[in-house]
Formats: sequence, C-alpha cells, structure tokens
Amino acid sequence: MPGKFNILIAGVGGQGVLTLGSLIAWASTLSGIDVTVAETHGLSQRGGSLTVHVRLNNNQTPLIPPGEADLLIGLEAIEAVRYSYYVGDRGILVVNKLRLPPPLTKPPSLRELEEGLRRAFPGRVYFYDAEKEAKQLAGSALFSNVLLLGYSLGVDGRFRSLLDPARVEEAIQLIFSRKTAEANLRAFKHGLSQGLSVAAGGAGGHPG
Amino acid sequence: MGNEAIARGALEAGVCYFTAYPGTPSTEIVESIGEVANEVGVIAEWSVNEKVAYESAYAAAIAGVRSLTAMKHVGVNVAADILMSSGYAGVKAGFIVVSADDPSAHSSQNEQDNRWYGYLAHIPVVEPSSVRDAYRLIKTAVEVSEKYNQPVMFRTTTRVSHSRQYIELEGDISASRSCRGFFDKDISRWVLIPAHARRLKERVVKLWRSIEEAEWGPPLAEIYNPGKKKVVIAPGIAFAHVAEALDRLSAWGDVTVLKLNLTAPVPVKPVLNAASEASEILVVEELDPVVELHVRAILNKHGVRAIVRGKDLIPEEGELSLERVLPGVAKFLGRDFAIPQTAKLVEEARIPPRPPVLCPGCPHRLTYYILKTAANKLRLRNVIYTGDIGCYTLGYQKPFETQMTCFEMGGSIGVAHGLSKVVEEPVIAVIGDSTFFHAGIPGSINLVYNNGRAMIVVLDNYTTAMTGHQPHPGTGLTATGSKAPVVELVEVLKSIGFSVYVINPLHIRESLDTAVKALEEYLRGGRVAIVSRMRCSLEAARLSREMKVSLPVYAVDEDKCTGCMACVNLTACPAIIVPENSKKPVILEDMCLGCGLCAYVCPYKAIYVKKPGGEGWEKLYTERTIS
Ligand SMILES: Cc1ncc(C[n+]2csc(CCOP(=O)(O)OP(=O)(O)O)c2C)c(N)n1
Repeated sequence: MPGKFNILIAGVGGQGVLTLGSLIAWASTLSGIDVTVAETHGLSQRGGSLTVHVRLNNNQTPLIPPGEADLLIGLEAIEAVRYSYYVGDRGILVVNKLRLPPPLTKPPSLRELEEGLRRAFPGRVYFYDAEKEAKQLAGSALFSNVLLLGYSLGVDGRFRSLLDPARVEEAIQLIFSRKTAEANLRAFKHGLSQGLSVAAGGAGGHPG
Repeated sequence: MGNEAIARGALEAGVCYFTAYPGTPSTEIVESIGEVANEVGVIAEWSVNEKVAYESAYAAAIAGVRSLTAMKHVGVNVAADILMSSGYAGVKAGFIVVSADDPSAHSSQNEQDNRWYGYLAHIPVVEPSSVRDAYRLIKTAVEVSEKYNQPVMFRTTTRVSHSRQYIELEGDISASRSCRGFFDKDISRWVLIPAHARRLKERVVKLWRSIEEAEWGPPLAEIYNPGKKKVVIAPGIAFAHVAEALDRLSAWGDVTVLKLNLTAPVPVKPVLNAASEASEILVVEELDPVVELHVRAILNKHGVRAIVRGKDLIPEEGELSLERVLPGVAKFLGRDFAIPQTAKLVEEARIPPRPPVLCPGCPHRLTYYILKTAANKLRLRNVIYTGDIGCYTLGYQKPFETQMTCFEMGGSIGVAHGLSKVVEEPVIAVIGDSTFFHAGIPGSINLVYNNGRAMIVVLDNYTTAMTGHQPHPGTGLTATGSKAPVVELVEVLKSIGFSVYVINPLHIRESLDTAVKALEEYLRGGRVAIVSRMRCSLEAARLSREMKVSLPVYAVDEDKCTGCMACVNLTACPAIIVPENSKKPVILEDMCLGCGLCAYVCPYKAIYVKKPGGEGWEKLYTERTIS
C-alpha cells in the first residue's frame, strides 16, 4: 500500500483524545486514504491515560505495533513519555507543553520530561505550548487539539504529503457545529503556519 | 465505528426492534439507532437490564419481527436464563444477540469469552474480523438466524466495536418496513414445561448437527491458498493480526489460511478442506481455545492426522495484537522475524500510573466526602462500604476508599446483606442510580425481608454516566430522546420499607447533618437509605455550555494559602495541581466545575469563588429535567 503512516494520539481522558482521532479519520477519508482508528472507551475516559491509534493505508490490525508510530501527538507530556515506546526509528513527536500530574503523585517535571524525550529521539521532538496559543487565539484551551494537529502537519512533511491540510479544514466543518468550527478552523490554520515556519527553520525553536 | 456498522447493517437487513442495556464496548449500537429510530420507523429502547432487553427483543422475534439486542459480555450473564430457553424454542424471524466482548478487560471486571455461550445454548456464533466485516456479516447473521429459526450471537470484541473504518454502503434502509408481528399461540413451543423442553431439545441437537455439517463458504468460512502443509485457522479479529503477520513475513505463499467467522459450531467441511494436505495446523484466536478444541475434535473424528497448535504459541490471556501474534506465527512457520527495537526512556521509570479518577465537580466525590465525614463524626472508623459498578467505583482509591467490593451490577446490596449477617461492623452498600434500577431492587427487597443490617446509599446523578450518559427509568427520557414517566427511586425504596433521606451534596454542611441523622437511625437498628441527588458534572457542564449559564470557578488565594494540601489530599480533584517549583496548589480554571468541595475543606478559607456561576447555575446540578 502506498503511504502507510501510523499516528498515535496520547492524552488524558476528557482532553478530547477521541475527537482528535475522528477528526484525522474524517480528513483522511476525504483524502481517499484507507484509515483505521482504534479507540478506547469507558472507564479510561474518566481522567485515565488514553490512546487512539490511527493507521493510514494500513488496513489489517487496528493497533499500531510498538516502535512503529510515525507520529506521536501527545496532548499531555506525561502521557507522551508513557507511550513514547510506540515511536519508530523515523517517528516524530509533537508534544503539548502541558503536564497534568495524576492526583496525589509526583511525576518528573516538564523540563525532565522534555529532556528525556529529546535524548531518546534527538532532532525529532517538538514541544508546543498549544494551551497558551489556544487561549490567546480563541480564549479557551478547548482548541489546543486542533492547534496541535495543525502544528504536526506543519512540522512533519511526510504527514503533510499524505494528508492535505485542506482536507482537515473540510473535516473540521463536517464534524464540529458551525460556531465551534470557525474557531477550530482558525486554531488549525494558526498551528499549521507555526509548524510550517518551525520546519522552515523560523522562529519558535528547533527540535533539540 | 464498528458498532455503527452493526447498526447500519442491521437496519439494511430489516431489523425493526432494537433493545439494549448500555455496556462498553456495545453501547453505540443501540445509541446510534436511537438517533434515527423515529426517522426510519424502528423501535429503539434502553431496557432496564440485559435480561429484559433480551426478553423484549426475543418476544418480537417469536412474533415474526426481526430484532436485535446488544450487550457487553458480562451483560450476557444477566440475560443467560432467557438465552438458554431461546435456544430451545427458537425464533420466527431473524434475531441477533450482540455480545461485545472485552479482551484485556479495558472497561470490565473480566474478559470472559462468550463464544462458550453459543455452545451452551446451541446458538450459532458469528464473529467479524473487522469493521467492514461487521457491516456485512450482521446481514449474514440475520439470514442464518432465519434459515435455522434460531437466535444468532454476533460476537464482537473491543477492536471491532470501537474501531473506525470507511465503509462503502451496499444496501438501502427500506422505508416501507412493517414492524407488526403476529403471535402464534403455539403453546407446545413457547411453554417450556419439561415435556415440551425435552422435545425441543431434540430439535436443537438435530439443528446443531445440520449447521455443523452444512456447506459453509464465504463470507463465514473462506480458504486462502488451499493445499498447503501448514494451515493457519484464524477466527474473528485474530484474522487481522494473522494477515498482517503473514504480510510482514512474506509468507502468504507458504500457508493455507482459513478465515473463520462462524465459531459456534465450528463448521466441519471448511476445516477438513483447509486441512486436506495439512501436517500442522495453527489456530490463532483471542482468549480461550474454543475453536482449537473443536478443530481437534473434528480432525480426530474424521481420522485426519495433523498436529494442532494453538495456545502453546498464542497467548490465552489478554487482547491479541500484531506483536503478540507474530512470534507464534513465525515460530510455526520456522521463520525469523524482527520486532522493532523500541526506545525506553529513563524518565519512564518515574512516570506514575494514571488510573481513571472521579472528574472535577463529580457528585460522587462530594457524597463520599460527606459519608466519610459523617461516619467520623459518629466515631465510626470501621465502616465496610460494599461497592458496585459505575463511575463511583473509582471511590476505591484514596482518599475515599468507600468501595471495598465490586463484583457485578447490583452486587453491592446482596453482598452488604450477607456481610451484615456475619460481621460486627456497620455495612453500607453504595450503588449508582442506573445500577439500582438494573439489579439493585431485588437485593433491597431481600435486605428488608431477611432483616439485613446494612444501609443503602444510592448515588442519583440522573444518568448512566460510566457508559456515556444514557437515560434510565429514573430520568424521564427514552433512548430516542422522548419523554417518559419518571420512576421515582425514592418511592421505590420507601415502598420496600426504607426510611429514606435525600441529600443534595452541593450543600455540604446540610447534607452532612442529614447523613449523621441517617447514620444514627441506622445505628439504632433502622432500615435506612440515603439518596444523594446531583447531576453528573460532565452533564452539568454540557448543559452549562448549551444554555450559556456558567458554573462557578474557584481559585486559591496565594496569600492565605499555607500549602497544607488539605484540598489536594482530601478531594483528589484532578483540577487541583501543585505546579512545579511551588509549595502551594492552584486550581485549573478550565477544569473546575464549581462543586466547592475544596473551598469547604480548606482550613484557612483560602479558596474562593473567582468567577461566580451564572443566574440559576445550581439548577444545572440539581433539577432532574432541564428544558
Ligand atoms: C451486567 C453489566 N451491564 C452493563 C455494565 C456496564 N456498566 C458499567 S457501570 C454501568 C452503569 C453505571 O451507571 P450508574 O449506576 O448510574 O453510575 P454512574 O456511572 O452514573 O456513576 C454500566 C451500565 C456492566 N459492567 N455489567
């Protein structure tokens, strides 16, 4: 199959992990990509650690084998580290600069998490403060996820060559209500242009 | 989604009547039908439990109307009584029971393999291998059911039910369906007295043999590359893993593969055909060796000599995946394979587990705090809290520990009753509203009747939260969103004989006083129940967005805060975090849903309302119906 690509989305239940998965699925479908998405429902949606596996042009087993994700989108940094063993040799990590410690625990600091990832995946880790951007742009952290998706498409040329950002924009209009679709579109485009400029070596920091 | 594919396929197959009790991973089948039921002219119901769901749908099928009932694997246990009888009496129109199994118990108390039920009840089991298969095979399953006048179990697993694929629709939903039935008063068939049952058993045994011996081909049994010495038999989702494993080993040319989607009974001819030249056979299946055992029996009976491998090479516990199947398949084929090296981070070692927790604003957190504090006030330090199944099960964790058992739906009350007969400590059964209607009522009656010494607490959050907020008989809404009479659980408890105390946990101090009174009456020997009433905070948050009435948001006053961590340690609320390099907690504004427990427990009055709720916000939490 042409253009196989595996995306693992990791986050905390309640962050919109499933919605981001179905957005990518819709956009892929609109692009004529054969996509399979595996979700986890039920108990883990209540603030537990949560992943969605998205496989493009890979239509056999729905789960990504460890070590074979081409892109990991971490909606939260602890979860990104937890599932980083899924990332493959060439895989890229786009991680939200957000650390939500599970109640009553003392996990590593954001800096430690970031350094660990950079050491393990040199040159392939992008930390992005989606929450800050979302608040500046739309006044709410709710839009962090589409920002991260836009940013991922911006920094990851291989992903972008498979999935045209224009299809994501169509998918946003398809799955969100009219009012939130507008804000989501703006957020998506913003993340995309920031990602593109980072990839082009612009401001915003190189991956370490 | 696989579940939507099943729903769509069933509509195309002319199924008219859909019933279910929600349960992961089955819920979206009937939920999605509920959204279109009025439009396409079918019936969709949330039943009070799986037994009633099965009975209702089965009744339609004996009156000649195609029907489907869906449940999670453990739900079939609840429906097992009628399931067994339906296998004897059969049906007059297509009837499907979807059993959505949960290997690895992602969201369940066990990972039982329900294909055994097919054998137990003589009900054929159809098992799809993918979302696309689910869409097609549900239609085949209806045909099989009608061909043999027998219920058919459609068994999915999490990775079929909760995966998504694009599907080209192959059929229409006929608009002109007649969902009217006719009940033929065939007493010798529908009344399972011993004489009738014995005769019906003869029917079933014959039927089972004829299904076993029938000429099954695609789509239920498909042989790839026949005539090889090595044969792989892959039922259900295992086929997807096997297919990818063979892709990676470039080994499709070396083996015969039988994709098997009828797993009870295992059809004889496809197995013999696949094994025609076999010296070695590997059965790759998830969970129990159901197909493996039957393949062994078939080969044995027909004098075919081949070595059968299965659970010696493929894990028996937990969900299968490529990396769990590939080594076994490679070994079977005598091939080397490379599993990619995965990066291990040092930091991973220090990553704490993140089990699910009660959400910010969750009424259960408030109720647990109130219960424990009331017990403390009365110096009861040894209370046994029996638990049940729902979001509130998460109270097993610190700091609450108000769930000390959790076995099955409704179990809290029966277990509390039994414990109260043999131990000295106070026993409190804690059960959710949906769970109370599902299986808590008989236990409550039994408790009163047999003079149990346990108290009951019902957590009424106006919804079935755990499975994604389905209505239930206490909510005044149906599966299609129309109005229904409210079955008032307070009245139910009163009529059973309980003295009922209703609390609104949003008012913590008042609720505490009431809880103390309730406990005092209980300690005096009263039959006491507390009903704690407050809407699920996720639902209140949804309403708040829809109605543009904001909920209050709390904040920590840094100057007053001493960093004592009472708010963190007493609530375990995920909206309260201690930032790096800080000794004082902060409340994440985007997550706070305004329940106010943290402010209540703060000894220094350092937590205040930063953004007051909109006009009438409290009603979002307290009123049962909001329009
Ligand atoms: C026999 C059975 N059916 C269904 C389920 C799935 N399930 C788990 S919890 C739950 C209901 C929870 O609702 P409720 O008691 O109202 O508690 P809440 O989650 O709202 O706190 C259901 C249906 C199950 N575990 N067992």
